[in-house]
Amino acid sequence: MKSIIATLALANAKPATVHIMPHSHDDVGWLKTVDQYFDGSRKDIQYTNVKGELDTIMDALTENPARKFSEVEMKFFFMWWETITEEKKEQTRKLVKNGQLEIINAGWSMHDEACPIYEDMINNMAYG
Amino acid sequence: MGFDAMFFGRMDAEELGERIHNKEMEWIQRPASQSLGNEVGILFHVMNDVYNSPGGFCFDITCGDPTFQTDPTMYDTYDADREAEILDGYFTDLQGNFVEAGSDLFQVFGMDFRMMDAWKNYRNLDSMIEYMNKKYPEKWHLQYATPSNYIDAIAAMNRTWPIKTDDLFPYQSSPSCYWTGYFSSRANNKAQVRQGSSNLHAANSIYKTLLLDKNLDQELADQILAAKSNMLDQLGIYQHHDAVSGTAKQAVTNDYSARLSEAMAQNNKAQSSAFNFLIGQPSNFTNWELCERTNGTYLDCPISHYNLTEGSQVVLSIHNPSYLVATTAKIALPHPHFTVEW
Repeated sequence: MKSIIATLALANAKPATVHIMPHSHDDVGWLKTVDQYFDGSRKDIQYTNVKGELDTIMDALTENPARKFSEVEMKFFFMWWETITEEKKEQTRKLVKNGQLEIINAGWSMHDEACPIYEDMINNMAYG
Repeated sequence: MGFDAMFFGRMDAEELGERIHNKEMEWIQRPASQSLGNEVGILFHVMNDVYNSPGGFCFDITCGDPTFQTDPTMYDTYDADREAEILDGYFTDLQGNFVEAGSDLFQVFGMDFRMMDAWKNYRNLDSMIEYMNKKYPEKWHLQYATPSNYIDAIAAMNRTWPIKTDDLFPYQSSPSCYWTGYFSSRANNKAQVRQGSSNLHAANSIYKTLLLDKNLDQELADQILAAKSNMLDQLGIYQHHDAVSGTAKQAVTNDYSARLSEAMAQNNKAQSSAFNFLIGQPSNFTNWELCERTNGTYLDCPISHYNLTEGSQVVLSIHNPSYLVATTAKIALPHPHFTVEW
């Protein structure tokens, strides 16, 4: 009897859903060049390694299907894509298909909103 | 572009304060509403702390924050209960910022170049989600999500949002700290981006007709596509919010500049090849070469590299890639001994 009452109380409570969205903001150049950010060079300037990020993210997503990730910068994603095996590409496609990996914004870079001319923004999004 | 929603941080500090106060952190943006009316609507969602994880909850190896340790046998790192209480407070504040109490919440976990070790991030997030759901079963249900998951969830609630039709500029990150210098800083680089953009636009107007021509040989098609691809690559990274903005380090700015310069040189070669195909070569002719500057002298053009002797001929071709019709072009001759044939 006790357990039934407890279950009813829980059903009435309706907790608020908190959507936890893991991401990484990977500047396509800032303190370091785009290539330095990608391959992890010049740790003395900034400690980064986008290649390592994407490698470990895909494996961590595969380990637990509840995990999700949202990827933004297609320049880095393409650079990474060119470094991985066909097997890893297939693994990544599966993660997109099952909704664990979502491509958001999807521009070649995350373009500035004030300085570019509109044609360049459109090209940046189209190429991405 | 077909976007349904836009998530962003970096809202003007005063406006952010107002919006938190009025519980207006989400609205429907109607871009170009004067011409598009109510046809287009994009849901805007402002994140309360730019694009950061809740303070103290960065689990990446690049952060110094504690782990979310839920194993009590971990003698000196186990502190899950206190961490859960901090997070509960954080989510309660977040909930207060939205119109509908008890509605779904959206919280990013990340920052610049995080996820260097995704394993450590996800291990801690797994623990955090499990622990929070166990400790606050009636209050919170945490789950992994993408922006689409959140948008789908709130769209199903049949809510209404305020409408906004104007922009969000300028941006003041804190009182009197306006991000406006970058509108004009590093003018040379901004100009180079425009030159690159014009170059690509002009080349595209030739390429598009060529690429549809069944007589085009594969080699030239490959040359054109490679040049165009490199231009889109280098122009694309130059549109980045720390590139064309002029906010990158000098060495990085030089890198963008060199990359685009090389891409333009490659694209000019492809344009010259395209010209050869399109209008052919007059006899005794070396090659079509592109004069990269307008309003310059002949010294800016490839012609200045040739030793022109008596009897030399220079063939000039002008391409107007604009949709605006130009009926005259003024061409200065290298010296008065030239005769002009039309």
